Amino acid sequence: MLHAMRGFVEEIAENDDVRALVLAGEGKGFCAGEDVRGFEFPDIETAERFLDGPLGLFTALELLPKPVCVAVHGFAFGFGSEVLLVADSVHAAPGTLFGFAEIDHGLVPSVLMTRGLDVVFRRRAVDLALTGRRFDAAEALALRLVHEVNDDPRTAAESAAREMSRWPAEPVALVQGTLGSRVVDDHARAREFMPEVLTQVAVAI
Amino acid sequence: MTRVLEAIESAPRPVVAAVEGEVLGFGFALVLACDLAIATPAAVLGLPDVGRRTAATQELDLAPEVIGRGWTRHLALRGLRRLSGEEAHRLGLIVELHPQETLRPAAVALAREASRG
Repeated sequence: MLHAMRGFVEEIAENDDVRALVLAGEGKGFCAGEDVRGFEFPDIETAERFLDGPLGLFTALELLPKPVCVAVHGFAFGFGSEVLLVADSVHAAPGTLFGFAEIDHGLVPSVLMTRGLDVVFRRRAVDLALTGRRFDAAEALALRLVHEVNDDPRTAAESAAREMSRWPAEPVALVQGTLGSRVVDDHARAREFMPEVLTQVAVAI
Repeated sequence: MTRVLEAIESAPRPVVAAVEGEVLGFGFALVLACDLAIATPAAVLGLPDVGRRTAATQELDLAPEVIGRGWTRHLALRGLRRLSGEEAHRLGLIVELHPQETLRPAAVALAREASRG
């Protein structure tokens, strides 16, 4: 699924008819996080190959020269919370629960610990990563993870996307390029520490 | 304009911004470059340059360290989004809120306090 999403994001990067992207979940929640059942990484190489999925998608999303809006409802755990760190307009329903829950499985929220540091700032990033605690929409707003709390986040995200799709392509690409300038280096750091974490986790599960 | 920002940032004395009314684009960059900023609760701040052909980059360089990269993205790309003084206070861009009548004296008092050393 991560590879499919990455392909989709790379495809719309090239498509001039698409001016903005909205990510939303169907059903009970936005995203429950990566399915860790069957996670097994016998060696560093297998772990590195796995990492290409999430890190490739995050790179594509941040380097997409178009606005990315997210509508969150129900729950956003793990990957579901991490994707908010790289979005341009994050809209959450009041009852949404958030959590960088990777630690529950002995894992590390690598995007929070790299790209997330100058979104929520270091002290809070470490708190959220080490405790994996769940938090509500009001706290997500205070943490800077969410930009607006809306009763109907999907409509709000779509209307933000429509509003931003009116801007000329050049300044939008300039903003995205400037703010995403360190994305490749940051993910290279994640590629240094994550494979070893993953190989050890397979034993813990 | 870049030289104004550099002069503020490299000034050997504390520079305090007193913000009221609308502070948009380069005005926002000025507030970011100051060491401290105070505002009225009704002040309005925003980054509308994305609607023009050329977006200013000074704000993009300065803002992430102050309000975080997520909010910098949000304000710079939404363009029409405005922060009230209260919101800017919650985000850490503004350190104190004051009513309009006492804004200037409060800024002077803060500057005096910050330059005691």
